[in-house]
Amino acid sequence: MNYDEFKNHVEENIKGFLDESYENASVQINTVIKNNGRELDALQIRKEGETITPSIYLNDIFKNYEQNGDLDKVMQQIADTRVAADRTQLPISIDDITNFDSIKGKIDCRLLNMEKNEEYLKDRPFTQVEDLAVVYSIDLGGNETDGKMSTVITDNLMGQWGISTEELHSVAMENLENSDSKFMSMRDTIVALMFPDMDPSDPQIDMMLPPMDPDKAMYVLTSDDKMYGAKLLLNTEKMDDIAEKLGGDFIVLPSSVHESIILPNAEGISREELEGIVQSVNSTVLEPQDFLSDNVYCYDAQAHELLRADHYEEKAAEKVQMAAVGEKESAYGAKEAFEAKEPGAEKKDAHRERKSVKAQIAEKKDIISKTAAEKANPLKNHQVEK
Amino acid sequence: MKTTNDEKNMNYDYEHMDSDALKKRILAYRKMSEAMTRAAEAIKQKGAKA
Repeated sequence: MNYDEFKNHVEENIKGFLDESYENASVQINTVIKNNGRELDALQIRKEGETITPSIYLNDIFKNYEQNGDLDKVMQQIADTRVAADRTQLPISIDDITNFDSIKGKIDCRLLNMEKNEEYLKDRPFTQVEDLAVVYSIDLGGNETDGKMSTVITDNLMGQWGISTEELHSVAMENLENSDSKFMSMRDTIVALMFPDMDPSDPQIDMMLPPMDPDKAMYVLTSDDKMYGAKLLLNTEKMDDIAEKLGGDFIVLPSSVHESIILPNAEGISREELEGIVQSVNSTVLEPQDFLSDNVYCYDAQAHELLRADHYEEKAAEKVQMAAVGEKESAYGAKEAFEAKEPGAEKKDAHRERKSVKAQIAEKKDIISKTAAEKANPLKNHQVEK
Repeated sequence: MKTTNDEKNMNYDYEHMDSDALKKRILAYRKMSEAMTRAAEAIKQKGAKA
């Protein structure tokens, strides 16, 4: 059976695997565009009178069928998924969703790759952050074990609310500041995933993990439910806390749309090498729908801003240049570094060859501030005191 | 998600991290960690030779 035949079979026969409450349900399969350019076939089984229905994506289910070959088993799994969604009571109605004041507390956000989601973003409000896009969703409830329910906000829905993207973004950011997050060392994150029932300090654990250099600090930042946790990069309060803990600006390696890896500094590894590491993991391990970026980012704690690493380096170079300009000003006693010289100014310059003691002290102070600007750049080689 | 003025119907996604997704995340973390360790070692050795 090929995929089209499979879809037809599901559409025509799925009600046979559901109880009598689904007798008058409508069954539809619609192609929808999901993140990162994927087109998926969504099965929607809508009971009479229902206005909110779960989407069950058939693409991966067909792959399961191809592997195990048992069509009836796969059909029953689809039916069970639909019934399980019924048991999970949605906390809100369609009337709540179309009323902004009723729903604003449930507005969430996700970070996506802009370039890979050009089509996806055509009818969805978003805010650009560097080469990433913030999209918005409604959290419909659920939990980590049974599943989280959500729906991404479209231009259509935002239009019904009568608000702007800026207002939507502002509400999402406010909700994000109040959301739970996890910031743990790489080791503790892996332990929590691999050995959830063990005490993280149990010495037996380290015998089962690959060797990890305790001096090479890596951290994982994600949401409590580990879904779309890269959004925490937009939580400036959280990011400032991390900066304080790590001693200043830090590096972000985009692990996926679900989490980010944080480094206090590059330990001498160049930006290009870090990008190579990110790209290698992205291309060999990551599922396409989880891809966020092949770039490296830095958090500027002073500006409270997430910047792509190359932009961060440009900004750092500008700071160094400004500090150097300051040094020139104090050495020559005039703001002439970038200003056109007046006629006859050369004669005046000749008289300024000898620096005064005051000018020499000011010069030394500016050298110190230039050095500090360089040291604050986590992409340069320096050790953070722990 | 489709909402129309006529139908006023809406669809939502039901997502959770299954065991496959969990394994892939662990693998990604380990690969990242190992790659960083190798890169740092290479730099140490370069420094030692110089």
